[in-house]
Amino acid sequence: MKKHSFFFLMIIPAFGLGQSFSVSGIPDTLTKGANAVVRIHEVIFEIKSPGKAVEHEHFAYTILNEDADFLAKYDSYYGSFISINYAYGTLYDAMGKQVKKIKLRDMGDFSVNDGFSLMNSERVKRYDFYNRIYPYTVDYEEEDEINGLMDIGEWMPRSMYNASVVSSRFVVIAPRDYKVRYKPVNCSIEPIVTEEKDKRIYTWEAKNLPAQKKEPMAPPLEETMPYVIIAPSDFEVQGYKGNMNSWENYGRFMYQLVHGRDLLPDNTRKKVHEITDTISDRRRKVLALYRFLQATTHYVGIQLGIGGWQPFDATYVATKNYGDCKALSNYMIALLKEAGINGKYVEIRAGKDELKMVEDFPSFQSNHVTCAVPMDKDTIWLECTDQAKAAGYAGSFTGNRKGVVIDETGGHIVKTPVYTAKDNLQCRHITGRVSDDGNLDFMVKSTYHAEKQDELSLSINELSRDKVMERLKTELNLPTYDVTKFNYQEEKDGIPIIDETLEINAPRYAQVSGKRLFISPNIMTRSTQHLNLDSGRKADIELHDDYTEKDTVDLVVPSGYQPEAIPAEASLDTKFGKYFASYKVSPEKIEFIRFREQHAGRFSASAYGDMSSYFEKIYRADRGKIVLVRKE
Amino acid sequence: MHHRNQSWAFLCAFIFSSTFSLAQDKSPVKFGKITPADFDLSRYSYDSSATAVVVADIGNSRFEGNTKGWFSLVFKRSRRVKVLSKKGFDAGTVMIPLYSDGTSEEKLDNLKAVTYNLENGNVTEAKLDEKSIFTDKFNKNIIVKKFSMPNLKEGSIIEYSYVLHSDFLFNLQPWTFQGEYPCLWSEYEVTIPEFFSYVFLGQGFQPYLVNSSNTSYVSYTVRSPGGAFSDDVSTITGSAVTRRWVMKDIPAIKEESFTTTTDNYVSKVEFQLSQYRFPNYSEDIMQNWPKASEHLMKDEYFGADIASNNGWLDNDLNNVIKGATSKLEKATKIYEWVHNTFTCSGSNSRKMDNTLKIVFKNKGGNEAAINLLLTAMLNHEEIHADPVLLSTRKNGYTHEIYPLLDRFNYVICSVNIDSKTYYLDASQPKLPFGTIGEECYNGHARIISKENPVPVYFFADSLKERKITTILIVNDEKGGSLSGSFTSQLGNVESYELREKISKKTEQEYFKDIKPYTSDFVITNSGIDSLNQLDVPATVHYDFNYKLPVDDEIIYLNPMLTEGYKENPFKSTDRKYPVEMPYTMDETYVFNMEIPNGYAVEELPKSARVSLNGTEGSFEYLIQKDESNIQMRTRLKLNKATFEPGDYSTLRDFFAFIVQKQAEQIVLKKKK
Repeated sequence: MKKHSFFFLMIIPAFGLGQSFSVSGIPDTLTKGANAVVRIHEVIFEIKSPGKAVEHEHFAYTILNEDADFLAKYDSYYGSFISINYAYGTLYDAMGKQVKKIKLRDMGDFSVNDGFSLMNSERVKRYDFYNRIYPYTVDYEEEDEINGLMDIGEWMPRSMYNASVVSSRFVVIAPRDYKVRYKPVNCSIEPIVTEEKDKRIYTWEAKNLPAQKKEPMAPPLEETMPYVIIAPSDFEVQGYKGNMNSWENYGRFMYQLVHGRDLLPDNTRKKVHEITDTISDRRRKVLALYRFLQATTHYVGIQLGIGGWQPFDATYVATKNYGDCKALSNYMIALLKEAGINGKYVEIRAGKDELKMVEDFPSFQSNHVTCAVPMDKDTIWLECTDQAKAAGYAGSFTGNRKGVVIDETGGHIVKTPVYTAKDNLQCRHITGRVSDDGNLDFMVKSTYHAEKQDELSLSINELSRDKVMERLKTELNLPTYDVTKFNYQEEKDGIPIIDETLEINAPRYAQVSGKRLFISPNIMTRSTQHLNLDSGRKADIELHDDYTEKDTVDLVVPSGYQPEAIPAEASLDTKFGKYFASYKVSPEKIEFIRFREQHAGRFSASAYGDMSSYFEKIYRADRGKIVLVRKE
Repeated sequence: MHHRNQSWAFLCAFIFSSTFSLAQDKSPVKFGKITPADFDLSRYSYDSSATAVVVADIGNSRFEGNTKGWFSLVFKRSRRVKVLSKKGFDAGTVMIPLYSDGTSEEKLDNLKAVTYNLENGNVTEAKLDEKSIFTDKFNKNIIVKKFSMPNLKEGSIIEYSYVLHSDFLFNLQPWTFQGEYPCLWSEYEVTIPEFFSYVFLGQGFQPYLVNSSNTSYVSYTVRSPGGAFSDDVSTITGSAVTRRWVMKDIPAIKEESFTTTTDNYVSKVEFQLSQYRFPNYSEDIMQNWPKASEHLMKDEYFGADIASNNGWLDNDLNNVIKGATSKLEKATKIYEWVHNTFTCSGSNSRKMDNTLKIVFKNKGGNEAAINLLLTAMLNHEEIHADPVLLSTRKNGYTHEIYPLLDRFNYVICSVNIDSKTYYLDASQPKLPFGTIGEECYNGHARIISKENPVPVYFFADSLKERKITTILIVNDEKGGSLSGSFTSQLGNVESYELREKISKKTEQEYFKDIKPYTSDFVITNSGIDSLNQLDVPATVHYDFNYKLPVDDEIIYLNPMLTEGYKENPFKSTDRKYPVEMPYTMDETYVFNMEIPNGYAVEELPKSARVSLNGTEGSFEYLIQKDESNIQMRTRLKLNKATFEPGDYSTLRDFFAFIVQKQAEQIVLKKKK
């Protein structure tokens, strides 16, 4: 009997179980607030051996309106480690009647352009029914052969907003003696474990989950929704064996892939000595070698097969002068080694506002490799894919998170530098002159520190001067203006700073209404943050950025005017941050001071009203107008 | 020797241009020979802010006899680029697309790529190795060869050359003189034997340094596989015309706002195979619109079935047109049925993605499929309809004289009822009967019919967008606040866009996002009229309540409230290419306010009226008050959608004036 039910599960697709995709069968509780209903989502992942698995995935979505059309599209990646055995797609109408059925060969086949690699070996099968008669149901089923088991998956029954779930299952079938590792996150859900002959079956299942509304500034789903991460213990990829039970073991595996790939050609070794032998200070040696790396190499992504995890060797980079994050970091470490310095290969999940890694569950979680050099008192972080970054500066790309150091002792967790509101400082000083026809000529000197300079740094280091000018001329938030001069100066010792000087002419900036002149003295630093009032807020609120903004504005005004209205001073001191704005107006000039200190943090839904009003007050204060009247 | 007129024209051109001095029309570059002096480009003039500069880009296309009894194309290209800064490293990544029809594909040969660096006064070389060339099957027709140049540094010179063999005679390589980087020398030479004739199409604003042609005698050896026997070898001789184009000191192409596509402005030459002309055999491949049209009307993925009897439509159509009496009623019903029943898979194409019957069965297809089906259904009911082939604005202009079908990417339907013509597009869910989207307003389009393939024109200048917004404000009885109503009747394009937007969100969300209102400004009773009645403009309306800052001695109020231009749409000060706006406009804003209780008008903005280049546009701002009310009216009219670069600064100033005027405030003072 038991054997039967097992085969039953494997072979017969869901509609064979008598499931109907008629929309009338969905209870109201599941259509409320939903754009789509997950009728079924089932993954059956069978581990045949540490290097081989078969994954069977079946899902059916009922699309209730145009908002969920994207879910009806099918995207299936395959390549070096995954081959598709079969795939089907079926379209049903509202009554549950089959409208169309397609197979793998009907799907489009494309190479994957990840936007940054020159070449990778991944491909994708794509399909879209382009149905627009609502509601409708798409049902897809696929079986993959997996060669190389780095990852099993995640069971997250509610992985989308505005979608309810009728049934969601994740089944892992493994040899009895194989340890399947899993960890419930934001919950304590345990699998049902059964045994069949020499196999052990782990099942996670959930039913009838109502849709959850998407709300602005909510934390990522991974931090609020229950889910389970599932990973291998022993695994094997292209002949390389490993085990993930601990970060040590994980690191040992990765180290196999990296180890011995640090040989440098003689001329590069000579170069290293030329650069470092005359320097005695270790820190200065590191900086000099990093500058050499930045000056001579650049990023070219090539991800082929095991090359997704294994770096090209140092000689490859030395002769081609390019590589991906792994290859460049490995090369940097090789350069350091030649100079007698120990650099570390660090896997990390990079990107601004990326998800945090799950620290206590060793598994494949990174998307990037960077380099760290431990010093006596601190660590120098070297981003080897960036030719312009300050040495030691991680920024919003890799800062404020955990990474995994890979070395001969295995793997262990490290923390990257944190940049606080004090570090991420923007200071701006404007001096200008308003004429009686409303014309404003001004010079603005700004300094951007740490994360406040991240975006600007990319722009000035990657775009031609011409393009930078074009951006300045089109992207500032002023009614009509022209940038007549600009200059940038970068300081890269320690936390990076950019000094910016702009000269701007803004015709008709101030409004002339008869004898009155209306001037907004806050010309450049206006908050656009805005939260619509919402009484039913459910999710916590997350503020991402820590920063400080300081502004001073001195404007000379035309003679013969006197102030009629001056906005009130604004001063806010809340748990979300601090804000201050004040004005001093004399017949000759306007002085404006603004200060804002903003902290990242998580706040409960009940704070929503207060936060909305905090943002509104800043929004208004940032747009305060001074009214001058011509003396009769 | 028999010559076509065109060849004579080339010959004449050659004789004329051969008087040119030859000294300055030779490429300044010797490929494969780099000396330290080549790293110094200071004697050339180019945009100093460039990140890389193309020193020379030289191409050559010719024919050769192949072993399949026919001809092949041989394209050679050599390119030298100097990388000026790290920002120009992208120039070191090269992608070469090859065409494949599934059975045969273009072949890349003799690829050589070298990076040269100047180190301590010596030139060093780094060659691209075979292993670093990747092949990516992009889709079923395109294979891309890619590589990244080794040892790239600031100041590197990169050089690469390759030969491309192609059996696809229609794919005579075009040449683009102007690109992402400035270019010092760009040259293309094409030798075409008299047996083939191509239409040459040149475009762009850059002048040619050389534009010459030369005739010579050529001989080709063509082998035909002879099966078990030896190959059949024949030699064909004739004259060939070599054309050569050279441009010098070409600036980089620049992206600007309000440009449909820079493809319309970039300097390039393209070719279209038009004829085989052998002594004993000739065939028109592409000649004129009547022929192209005839061909399309036989194509089962275009017109083959649209004028047939199509008995399989009988039943469905009988139901669809039930109750309709006039032709217009029938046409409307058919349009609505196709519009509501068929789903567009939206891959812009000039042909159907399936045959008519399958499209009908699938209840969907691309734009061409849906509109051709619509055409067939109208014809089935004896309502005369034809397909119209066009190119959307993003896809670039089409050619009026030559039927260059590759340039078309969209099909709509033209229907004639009671001597009135309607243009229909049933593929876009929110378009009403008789309306086509703004993307279709791209000049020349072509009616495809057996009898009369005439051009039709859709100019953005003829698309009028009219909007009327009215605001009425009165005092609340209890005082201290004002109540108002907002009504805005949108133009056709904006109505369409709104309907599209609402279909992706709820109406409630739309009003939430409409503007960042502050808490003293509360919206109630919001709604959109005619949201689903596509043939009339949508009207957005709401009521609002404004809490007066009654403690203030003076109240400033902008009568535009949330409407009007807050920023100049023409940001940049300079302009290279024409401004191409999607439509002409006529926007009226009417504001009527009861003077708040307890306050008197201290000052009003001044009325003003300006015009743009005489009659091309106008803006008026009229404001007045009486005892109890303030009335204001602004109207912005732009009578043209396309402006030449020379008119840009006037247009920008015109909007600067509007932005400032619309920011002006009414001043109210508390009564003593």
